[in-house]
Amino acid sequence: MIINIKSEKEKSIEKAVEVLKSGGLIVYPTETCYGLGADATNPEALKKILEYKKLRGSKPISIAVSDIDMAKEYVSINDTAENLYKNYLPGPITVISISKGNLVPPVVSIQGAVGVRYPNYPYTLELIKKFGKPITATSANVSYKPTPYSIESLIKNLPEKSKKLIDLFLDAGELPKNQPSTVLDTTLNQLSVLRQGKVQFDNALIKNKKIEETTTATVEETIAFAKEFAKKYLDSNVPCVIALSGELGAGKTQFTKGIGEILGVKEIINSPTYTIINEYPYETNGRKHVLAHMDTWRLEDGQLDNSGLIQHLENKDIVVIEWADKFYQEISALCDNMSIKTYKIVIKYLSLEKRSIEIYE
Amino acid sequence: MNNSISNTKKPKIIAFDTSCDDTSCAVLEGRNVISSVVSSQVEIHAQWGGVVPDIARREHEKNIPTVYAEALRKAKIKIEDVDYVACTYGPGLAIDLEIGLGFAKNLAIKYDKPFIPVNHMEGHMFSGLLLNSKGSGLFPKENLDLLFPALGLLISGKHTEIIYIEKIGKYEKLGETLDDAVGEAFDKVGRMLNFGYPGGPTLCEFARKGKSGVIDFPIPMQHSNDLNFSYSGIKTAALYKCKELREQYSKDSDWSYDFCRCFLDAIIESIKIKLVAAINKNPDIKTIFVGGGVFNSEEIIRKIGTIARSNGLQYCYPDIDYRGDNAAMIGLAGYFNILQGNIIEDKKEIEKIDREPRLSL
Repeated sequence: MIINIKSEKEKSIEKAVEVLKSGGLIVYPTETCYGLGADATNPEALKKILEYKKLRGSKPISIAVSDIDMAKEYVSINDTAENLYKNYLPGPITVISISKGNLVPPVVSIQGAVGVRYPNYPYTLELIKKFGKPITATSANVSYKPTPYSIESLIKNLPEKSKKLIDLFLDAGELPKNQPSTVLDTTLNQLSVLRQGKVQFDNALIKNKKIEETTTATVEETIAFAKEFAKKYLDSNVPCVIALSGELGAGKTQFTKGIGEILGVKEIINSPTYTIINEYPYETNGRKHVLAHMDTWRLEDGQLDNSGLIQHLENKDIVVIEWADKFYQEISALCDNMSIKTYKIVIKYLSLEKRSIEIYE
Repeated sequence: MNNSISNTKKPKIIAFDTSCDDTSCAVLEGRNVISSVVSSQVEIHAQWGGVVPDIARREHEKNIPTVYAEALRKAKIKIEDVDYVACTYGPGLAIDLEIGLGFAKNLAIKYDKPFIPVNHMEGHMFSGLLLNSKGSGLFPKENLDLLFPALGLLISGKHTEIIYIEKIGKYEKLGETLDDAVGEAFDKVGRMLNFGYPGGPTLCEFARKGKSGVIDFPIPMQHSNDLNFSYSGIKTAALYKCKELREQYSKDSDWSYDFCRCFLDAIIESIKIKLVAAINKNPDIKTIFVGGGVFNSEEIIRKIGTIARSNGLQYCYPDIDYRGDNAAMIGLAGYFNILQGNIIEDKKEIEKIDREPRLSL
């Protein structure tokens, strides 16, 4: 059965809800192409979808919701996903989140992930809202057939068997030929641990003595200030930890370059974000030392112990730590236990080029 | 390259890599990959993957026996039938490298196999020369002499460098990043846009929908006369642009597609400038080799390919499975070392091999 949604809007929604409730299949319009809909919580209806699509392998099928509240009933929305819903949806994006456990394959992947569509198509949103539950969101074509932008071309490419499975075609005419939705995986998100323990760090600073402060206008000046600091306070034979704090691009790695230069490191010092700890050998008065340059940006709670930091402290190396605020309490406790001196360096943006740098003992 | 063994049976190699987040193991027969297993992919069969959290991925000690057994099982081979053991000994995080190296060395000693310590970067550089189990790939011919001399362009979360390759085994680093690697810049700017971690893939995805030339980013290092890279400046510029645009518009989606497009354009342009300069300085080269996780971006892999071809050069890029860290490329570099006789047979010598976290080409 084909209903024109423009001339018979109310009736078509009513009919569609009826079909979905009885476990049937509908073809409905979205801002990307025509989709194939079934009650995403009904295993029998999902079986029909697989029968219709044929040859899908183990690829999961997305679900479509009418708003973020409906999404939240079925998946956990983390910070990254929240950002996408707030800033980009409804729209042609499929957001992958972890299932809350009330959905079954094929709308959930083996790992428990669910692809959620919140389509920017008011008619369809109204339909899903009326139905009160998510519906499947997969393109209405049979696998390996062209993306359907009109009911006419869809039916032309449809095997008789598949066609019989459809209870209702919701015809919105020829849809604009938009690309399929962008699929974004938010399940890898590590944002929660990137929130810094800033309060702890700032509180800790109150107890510390400020020993130097300056304002630098260029990267070169930041490096020069780091060199002054290293000359005045660092000794290759005395282990210490230099804890750096500052926003992305503030100049933490630049500051480390200055320290390395004074110690006698010959190699180029670059960011340790991915390696986590870079080791730079150097020599003073014929004695071999190592400057350890660490970054906690990618470390999660509990991972500091296995990062190799302790080994460097035991070896009595000078250790520079970027994003030290994140693990400030742990680092500070380690240094106290091992009687290792700590310097805290806070770099703040004043403008695109200018920075304020404070050093605490 | 010496092809003295080309007509004899190709050596079977088992290879390991634990230089960063993933634990991986592969079995090769010459350049042919018989099996390749990466810890983060062990459970990932479906299209939506990536639910293995970072914290689990980094547990090399727990992962390595499983990944090793899986690689042998998939290759349908027993460890006794393998001819060589290869393993990454640098660069990477010391504590991670130690686990893979310790496991591989024990294996070589226990089963009486010669050992090959491999430079991770040599693996990335030649990852495009890997062949599938049937021997097909980009350059299936046995003799690779016609590819050299060449340039290697390595771009990942940890590395951004250009290498002059006189022949396999003889390298000279022409330029590298002075601060952040390209992949790191992507992920950090992705973080500014609340794309979670890693944000790079989302940034590249969003760039596809944005307009070029509407937001100005400085092209990093375009006026430096060397072949070095730097991405800390553009990171700062992005942070400021991002704040400015957020104040100006109500929704991120109003500007972020164009932002991603223009940021990606600036990064690609900076790579292009250095690559073209390196090509002009080395007119004898015949091929561009690329490798590293950033080449997961189809756009980047394509655009670098265009540069290579428009300069009349061959282009050797890895298949999608071998762009990130993997052990197959370590097995390949191991194979090249076998051809050059760089193997260690003495058990005492094998025991002595130590990780080199700052190893360079």
